[in-house]
Amino acid sequence: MALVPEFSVSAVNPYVSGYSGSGTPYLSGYLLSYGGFTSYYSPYSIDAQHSGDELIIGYDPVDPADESDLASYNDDVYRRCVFRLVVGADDVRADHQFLFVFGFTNPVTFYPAVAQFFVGTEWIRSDPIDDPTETVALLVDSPGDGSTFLNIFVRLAAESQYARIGLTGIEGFIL
Amino acid sequence: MGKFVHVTADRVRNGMRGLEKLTEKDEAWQAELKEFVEVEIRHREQWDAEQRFSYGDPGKGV
Repeated sequence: MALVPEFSVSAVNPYVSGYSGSGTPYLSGYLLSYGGFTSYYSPYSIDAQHSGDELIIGYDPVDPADESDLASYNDDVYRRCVFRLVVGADDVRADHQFLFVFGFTNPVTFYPAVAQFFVGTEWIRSDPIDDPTETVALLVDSPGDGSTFLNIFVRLAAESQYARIGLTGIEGFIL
Repeated sequence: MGKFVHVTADRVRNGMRGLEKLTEKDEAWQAELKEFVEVEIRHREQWDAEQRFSYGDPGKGV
């Protein structure tokens, strides 16, 4: 059976709901970002990011050694370079799993960049984004029955402030 | 290159509990959450209204 995404969100389509009538399990995706980077030259220009349906973040990465859990929205999220996916899950069961597929880019591979993944405040893992395009899949167990809002944060970590990562979209599935 | 990670329910619940602790201190997040919920409710109402319209509503004589 082909998997059909509940949502596919990107810069130009930041809110998508998989709602298809009450009683049916579904996910909604809300995409937010903090610490975006634009410049007048491609691919960082607003025009290029808009045309490519891409968000690029950078200029205030955390130290890659900092893999502590999030302790403050202001210090660890809002003032950093972060993609954030809020997932509204409704009518789901504890035995469901959610699959999230992230499409990343690294527009300047000369500077190593790391994507740190958090579910809620909990650090999950850090993945180098070394290639011009990279896919990362997160399989997340449902926290329980009913309705919930999940928050998944992807934060840029790098040694250099010139490191950047881009996001071309996130798809969410119920398994 | 593709990468894959499995996040167990325990870790999800831990993370959510952590977030709840942050939200107690963070009024901005409460406002954001309210916005998400409102968008969600509007979307459902709109979806339901569209379904009623496309299938017809005998009670309203569409």
